[in-house]
Amino acid sequence: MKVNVFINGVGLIAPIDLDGSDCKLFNREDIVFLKCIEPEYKIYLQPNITRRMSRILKMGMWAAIDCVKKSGIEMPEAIIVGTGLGCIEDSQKFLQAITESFEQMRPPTAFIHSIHNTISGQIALYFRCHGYNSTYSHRGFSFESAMVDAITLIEEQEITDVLIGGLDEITEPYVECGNAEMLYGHKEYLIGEGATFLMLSSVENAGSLCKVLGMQMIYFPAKSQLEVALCLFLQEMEISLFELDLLVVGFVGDSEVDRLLSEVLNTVLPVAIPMVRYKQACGEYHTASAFGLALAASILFRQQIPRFFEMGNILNRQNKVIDYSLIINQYRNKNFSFILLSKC
Amino acid sequence: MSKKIVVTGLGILSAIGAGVLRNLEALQLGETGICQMKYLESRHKALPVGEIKFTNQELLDMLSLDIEVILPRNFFISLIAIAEALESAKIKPREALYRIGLIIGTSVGGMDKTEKYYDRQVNGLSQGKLRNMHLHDCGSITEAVADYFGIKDFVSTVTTACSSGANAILMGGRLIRSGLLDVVIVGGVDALTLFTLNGFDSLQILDRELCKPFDHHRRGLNLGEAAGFLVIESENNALRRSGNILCEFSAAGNAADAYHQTASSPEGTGARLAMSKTIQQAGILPKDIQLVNAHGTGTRNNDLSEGIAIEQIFGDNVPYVSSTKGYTGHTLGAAGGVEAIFSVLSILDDCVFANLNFSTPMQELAFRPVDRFLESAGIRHVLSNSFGFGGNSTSLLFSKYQAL
Repeated sequence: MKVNVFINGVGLIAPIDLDGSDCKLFNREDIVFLKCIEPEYKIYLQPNITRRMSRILKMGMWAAIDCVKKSGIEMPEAIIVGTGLGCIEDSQKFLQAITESFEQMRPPTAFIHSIHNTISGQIALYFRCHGYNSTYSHRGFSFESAMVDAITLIEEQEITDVLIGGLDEITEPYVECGNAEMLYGHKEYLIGEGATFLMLSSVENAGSLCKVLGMQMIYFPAKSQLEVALCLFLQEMEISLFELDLLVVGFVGDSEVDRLLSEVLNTVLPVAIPMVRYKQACGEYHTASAFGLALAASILFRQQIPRFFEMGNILNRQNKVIDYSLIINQYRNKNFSFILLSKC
Repeated sequence: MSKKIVVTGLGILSAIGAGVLRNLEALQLGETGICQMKYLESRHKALPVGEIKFTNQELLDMLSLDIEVILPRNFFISLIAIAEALESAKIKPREALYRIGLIIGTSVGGMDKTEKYYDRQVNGLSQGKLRNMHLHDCGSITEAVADYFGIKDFVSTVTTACSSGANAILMGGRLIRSGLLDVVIVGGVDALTLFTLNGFDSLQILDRELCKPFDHHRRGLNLGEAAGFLVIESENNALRRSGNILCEFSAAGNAADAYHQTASSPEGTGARLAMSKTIQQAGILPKDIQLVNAHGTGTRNNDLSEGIAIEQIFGDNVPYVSSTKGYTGHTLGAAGGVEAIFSVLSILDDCVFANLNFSTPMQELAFRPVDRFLESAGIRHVLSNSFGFGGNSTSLLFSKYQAL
C-alpha cells in the first residue's frame, strides 16, 4: 500500500461480547442461528428517534457512533458502508403491503427505509458529515468493497479518517433468501448477524489498535488460482508463513463448503499456525468479514484472544507476542479476501 | 506515466432504444421514450413511464441464449448493454491479458422476480416459487453478468439509490488510478418494478404527465428503466492495445448532502460540494465547462436545489444546462451510467440535447435550460450530475480527448 493505514477504533454489535465467553444462540424449527447481543441504544440515540428506526438501522447507527467516539475524533471525513441485503425488513414490509392491497396501500416510511444507502445516509446526517459517502451491496464482497474504497480514498485524497462498516441482520426474508440460495445444508453451519464499524486512519495515535498492511479480494477462483493468489499476496506483503502468528479464518463449519479453503491453507501454509474460526462467534452472513477484522484488530491490541475460542486459552497461556495476523474470508466459495494486519 | 483515464466503449438499452446509435438519434430528434405503461403489470397504468420497449422474452431472443426467462430483467438488460460496450471497445475479457473489473450500480437487483414470489405467496396462488428469490440481492446480478463475460479481477455493486451508476463510475476510475485495474466496465442498471413505482408514488413525486425538468410548472418525475455501461481504462492500456479512445473521464466528486433522507437541502449543499470537488480534481475552472447534464428529475425539490447549486458554482457564467430525463425518465441506479453516455455523446458530436417539455422558466433561477437541439456547440467539458435519496451526491466530468 502507498500510505500507512491504521485501525483507530471499532464499534461493534455481535452475538458475542468480545470480553466474555458466551455466544447468543437462537433456535427456530429449521435452523439454529446467532443473534446479536444488543446494547442500550439510548446511550447514543434518543428513544423517540429509535422508535421509528428499523433494527438494522439502529444497530448500524449505534456501532458507527460508538466507533467514532472510540476513535477520539469529532467526525469522520468519509463514510462507506457494506451490507449484503441492506434494510430487507423494510423491503419486505413494503412488498407485502403493495402485494396484499393490490397496490393500494403503500407505506412511504417502509419504502424510504428500504433503500440500501439509508444507513450510510443517516450516519452522515447524524454527524453532519458532507464527505465522501457510499454503500456497497455485493454479497461476500460488500464489506471488502467498502474497505478497498476507503484505502484508495486515503491514498488518493490524503484524507485522514474514513469510517467503514459491514452489517447485516437476520430477519424472516433474510432466512428465506438464504433458503432460496440453498445455504443451510448443515447443522454446524450457523448463520449470524452483526454491525461492525471501524475507523481507518492514515495517522497512528495512542488508541490505534493495529496497522493494516494490505488486502486483496479474489473472485471465483479455481483451487490452484487461490493458492497462487495467497502465495503472491504474502510475497507482496514481504511476509513469510513463519512470521504469521495468528490466522483469523472465516470457515463456516460445513466441511463441504469449507473444503476448498481448507485444502488451500494446508498447501500454502503447511506449518501449524494458531487459528481462530471467527464464524463460530458471529455466524455466516454477507458482511461477517467485518467482524473477523474487528476481532483480529482487538486481539492484536490486547494481545489476548477471547475466552470463547478454545485455541485462545492455549495461546494466551503461551504468552507469545502476536505481531502479524492474517484474516481470510470466504463467502460461498466465490468471494475470497485476505487482510494482513500487524501490531502497532 | 500518464494517469489519464479514457472511455473506450459504450453500451445502452433505454426507453429511447437499444444501442448507442438509436439513443443518439432519438436525442438529436427530441423524441421521448416516455409513454403509456405497456410492460409492467401495475394497477397504476395511467402513470407515464420510460420503459425499455421489449418483453423479457424478446430480450432473451436478442441475446440468442438458451436460459430461463425466470431470471431477473436486470440480468438481461445488463448483458445486452455490456455486450455492446465490450464490442465497441473491442475487448474480450476471457482473452485479455490485462486486469478487467466490473462495477454495477443498481437499486433493485432482482426485485422484479421477488415481487412475483410475494404475489403468489400472499395472494394464495400456488406456493410462490422460491427460486424466484435466489437472485434477489443486488450483487447476484453483477456476479451472473461477470460470470457470463468471464470478468474476474474485480467485481462489486454500488447501491446508493439514484447516484449508484455514477458512483460505480467514480469507483472504477479510482481503482484504475490506484493501479489495481487496467480496464473497468462501469455503469448502472435498474428495471422498472412495482416496488419502485409504488414507492415513488407513495412519496407523491411522480408527474401524471410528462416531466418538465427546470420548468416553473414541474410536478414531479417519470420513472424509467435502463442499462447504461461504459468501458473506462488507463490511457496507457488503451494506447498499448490500440483501443478506440472516445473521450477522457477527467474527474469525479462525491459528497453527502446530510440534510434529509429523501429531500435535498434547499441550498443544494451536496450538489454544490460534489460539483466543486469534481471541478477542483480536474484542475480546471467552472468557466471551462460548456455543458451540465443535470440530474434534473422534474421534482420541485431537486430542480430547485440543483439549480441553486449550479448558480453558486458558475455565478454569472452558467454553461448550457440540460436534463435528459425527459427522454428516458428517471432510471434510478442506471441514471448515472445512462447520462454519462449521453455526456460522452455530446462531446463526440459536439452538441447539446434539448431539455424536453420546458416552457416557463423557474422564478428562483436566472438561467434556463437548453430547450432545443444545438449543434457545433463547442463542447470540451461536460459535467454529469446524479443526486440520490440518502443525500448521496455525485458529479462526473468528461472531456474531449487530447492525444499525447
